Amino acid sequence: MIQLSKLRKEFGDLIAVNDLDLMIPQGEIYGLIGPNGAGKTTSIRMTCGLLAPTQGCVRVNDVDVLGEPERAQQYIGYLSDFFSVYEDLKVWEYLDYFARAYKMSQPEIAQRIEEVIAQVGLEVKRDTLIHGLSRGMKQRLGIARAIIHQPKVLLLDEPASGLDPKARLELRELLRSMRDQGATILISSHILTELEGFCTSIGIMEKGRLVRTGRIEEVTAEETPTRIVRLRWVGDSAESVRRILAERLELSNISLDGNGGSFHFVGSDDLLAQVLATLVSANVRVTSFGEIKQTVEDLYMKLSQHEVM
Amino acid sequence: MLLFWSNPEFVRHRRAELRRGRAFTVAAVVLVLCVLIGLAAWASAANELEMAQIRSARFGRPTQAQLFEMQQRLPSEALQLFYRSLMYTQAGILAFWSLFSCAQAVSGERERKTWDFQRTTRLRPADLMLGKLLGEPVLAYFIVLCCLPIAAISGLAAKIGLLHVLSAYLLIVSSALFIGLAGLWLSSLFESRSRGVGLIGTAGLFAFLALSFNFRVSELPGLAGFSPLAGLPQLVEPSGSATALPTLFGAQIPWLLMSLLLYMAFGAWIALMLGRNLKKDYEEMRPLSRWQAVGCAAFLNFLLYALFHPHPWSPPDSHSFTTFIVIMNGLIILAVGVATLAPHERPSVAVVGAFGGGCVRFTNMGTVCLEAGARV
Repeated sequence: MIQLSKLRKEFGDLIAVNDLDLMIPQGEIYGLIGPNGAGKTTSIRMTCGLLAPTQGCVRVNDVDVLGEPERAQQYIGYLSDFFSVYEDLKVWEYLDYFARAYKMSQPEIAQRIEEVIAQVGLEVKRDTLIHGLSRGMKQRLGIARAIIHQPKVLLLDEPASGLDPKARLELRELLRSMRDQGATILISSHILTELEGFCTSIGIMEKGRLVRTGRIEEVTAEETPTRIVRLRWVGDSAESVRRILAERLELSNISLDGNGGSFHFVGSDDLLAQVLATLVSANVRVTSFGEIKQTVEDLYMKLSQHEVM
Repeated sequence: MLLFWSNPEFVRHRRAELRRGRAFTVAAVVLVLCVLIGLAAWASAANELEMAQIRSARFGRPTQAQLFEMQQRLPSEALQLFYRSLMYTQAGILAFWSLFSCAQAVSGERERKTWDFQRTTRLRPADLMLGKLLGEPVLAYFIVLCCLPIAAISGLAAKIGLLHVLSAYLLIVSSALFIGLAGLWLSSLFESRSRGVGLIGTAGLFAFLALSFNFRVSELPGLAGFSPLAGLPQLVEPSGSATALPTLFGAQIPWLLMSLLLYMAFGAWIALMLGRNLKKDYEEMRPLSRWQAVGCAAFLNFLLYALFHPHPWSPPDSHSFTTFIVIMNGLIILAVGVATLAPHERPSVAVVGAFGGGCVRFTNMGTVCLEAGARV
């Protein structure tokens, strides 16, 4: 859906993006993370056609963004971090403007405006002048603008900056529902908790280069082959549970205390299920048993050199 | 290109600036102003008659018969004055408003951070250009629209021909469109409207268009056609103006035609530059390609040739004529050469300012000339 090939951008002597190769398939929510100045915004601006690459190619939905910009734009929705809206328009007029600008058909526009207004929860503000909206509402309106033409690809550059926690949650829900409808989302952020839980893939950028990319589970597995499992039980003593676990060769660093603890595990999910089965068959009354997932933040801290240009 | 009435950018401005309440207020204010201008015109004509009556009583001239004739002509004189005043007022409002609103159009959007969103829509540069050209000064066009029936009726009542009334409006609107287009181009060259250089550029452009009227006594009289003031007097006064007509390849043509030719020719070049660059990032803007720059230099030389009209009483000698053409070509090559450069390739004002001295300034300009020459 999004394909960046050997993408490079130079500003004088500065190489902002250095031979970036990236392929994001349909339905992915791809989180581009990295410190400020890593080249995230430049990459997104080149992807949506705002900036011409020094060399390389950008294709969105198999359309060359540089070669056929007007055609490519119908597939792209773009939202940047700091933006403004036309304060002297009403909410519906603002959306109508962009619907017309994306050359949607006239009968389709009215219905789509109502849909999008409902999606971002601005129904009661439909006929209000934008001038009178709060910062968070304007941000929601910006999101509504980005999705008014039902783009197949959403490019979001730090979209949650300026949003309150509730609005952030709503934004995540909205993005999830868009993904469920088949949209592909490329989202950049340096606030890693923003991306936690809904990105399916991540890419870590530093000094204009993509230092690591892939699905979150794959990157996690590559970086941390040892998984940490936490368990709790009732009844038996810690020592008896430790004896049962110690028999399994794939376990290490067993640390149990009272009625709970953790251990390190190397192996497949099948093998992990066998560990649980062993405990249950030994009549240990397990109340919880689960892997401690690596957060995006943990991964980033592990992979990044934290270098900026 | 989308029809202007359904052009999204035009619709946006129409909605924002012509809400029902505001439109009624503007129309009412225009009506009141028209009444005031009408009263002033009547008072002026009546005052002239009164002065004539005093002169007649004191010196016996004008005669009673002439006075009677003046009294008979009073309504018609007042109407002509009213019509003239209305037309000049409309020309002034539309030109001034178009220039200053269009000159902030793109730079203002960049400053407000709304420009990127327009660039990522499916609007083509031509759509954006048309929408902004007509949309930014939409209130001024509405004022003219409100004045139009009053001006047209008063013009016809004052025995100004319908063709003259229509021609006057054609000149007013075409000059406003050209001035707006020039302003739009100027605004596309600046990142922010708060930059002093933008305002200076706008004021400079306005001054050029107003003062170009003075070209009519030069050896390139046709250039006065840039100013609507050159053609408008001929069209709004029943007897026409006594100003000499401009020449094109030595043949005299009406000022209206001269102005339209200049607006269309230069407007086409400006539209070309805007069309190439309007959706580009600021740093990537390059007004003309190399071949377009060559074409532009050739066009300007051709124009110099077409408009050149030496004074019959003092034709230039070959030396001064050659000097003039060489200097003009130097300026043309400098201008079109600069037009082929992207912003970061242009001489930096900061560098000039930092070193200050005339030597640095000269060196910098020299670099531009050399680069411009090399490119062309």
